[in-house]
Amino acid sequence: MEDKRPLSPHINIYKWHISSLVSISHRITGIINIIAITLVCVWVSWLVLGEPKYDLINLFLNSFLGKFVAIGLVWSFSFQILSEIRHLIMDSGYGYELKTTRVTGLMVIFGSLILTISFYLIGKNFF
Amino acid sequence: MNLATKKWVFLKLSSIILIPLMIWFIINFISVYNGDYSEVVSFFSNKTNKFIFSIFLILFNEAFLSPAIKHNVKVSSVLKSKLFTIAPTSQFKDDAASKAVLAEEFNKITFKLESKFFKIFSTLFTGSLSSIVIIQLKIVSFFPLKYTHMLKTHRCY
Repeated sequence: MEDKRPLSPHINIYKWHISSLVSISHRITGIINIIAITLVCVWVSWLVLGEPKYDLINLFLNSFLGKFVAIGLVWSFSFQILSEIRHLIMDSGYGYELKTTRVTGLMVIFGSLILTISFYLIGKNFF
Repeated sequence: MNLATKKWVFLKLSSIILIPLMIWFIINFISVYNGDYSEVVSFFSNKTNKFIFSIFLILFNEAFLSPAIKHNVKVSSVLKSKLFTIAPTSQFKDDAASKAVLAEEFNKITFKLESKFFKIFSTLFTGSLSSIVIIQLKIVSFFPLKYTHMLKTHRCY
């Protein structure tokens, strides 16, 4: 016999909120950063193999995909930085009001994009 | 203060320290990532850069990776042992010989990575990756071989 009782609400029926989006993105960027740092270690370790072998990596990093990965990494770290600051503020007991969480969440999302551009321009000595 | 509280306080402190370190890393990464070989080597040969990057890696590992793998280790003692192990950085005395041995070490590690490629990525997402391989990579990348051997003999996990 088919069970007609209602199921308890599941994650896919909830409307996405800014705070949930920032929370899940914080975790995803954390995983991305762990993988990225490991790859950065591999990249640096590659230096000991000498210039000819390093040129392979250099070729990738100078390609469109390489630049996309590098800028993606900057965004991931920018997001992590802002989200971490938000978490630290919340840990000290502030910013739990609904409106405040929404505003700080939006600040993290849009601020990370602005930070990405700023870091890239600073890194490339545009200033 | 119990161990869980200590871990929490340590995580928060490392997060505060990590923020300027992450900014430093990102800006410098962008400035050198597509540079030529000599440019990248000169960046990582600089003692200040090497030191800051090492501290960044250690704290990053403690703040992000360690909570994920949930190892049962006293955080302060591990941090002390790591700092003690890698703090006295020095230039290679015999550069060519050291590079050859480092390349051999690196090959061993990359072989391990290749053979466990799928396992590493699947376990990373389930949060049970052993950080030994990653720590070895980090240490081998930056420090003289004698410190690498010290770390291997004094296994942290």
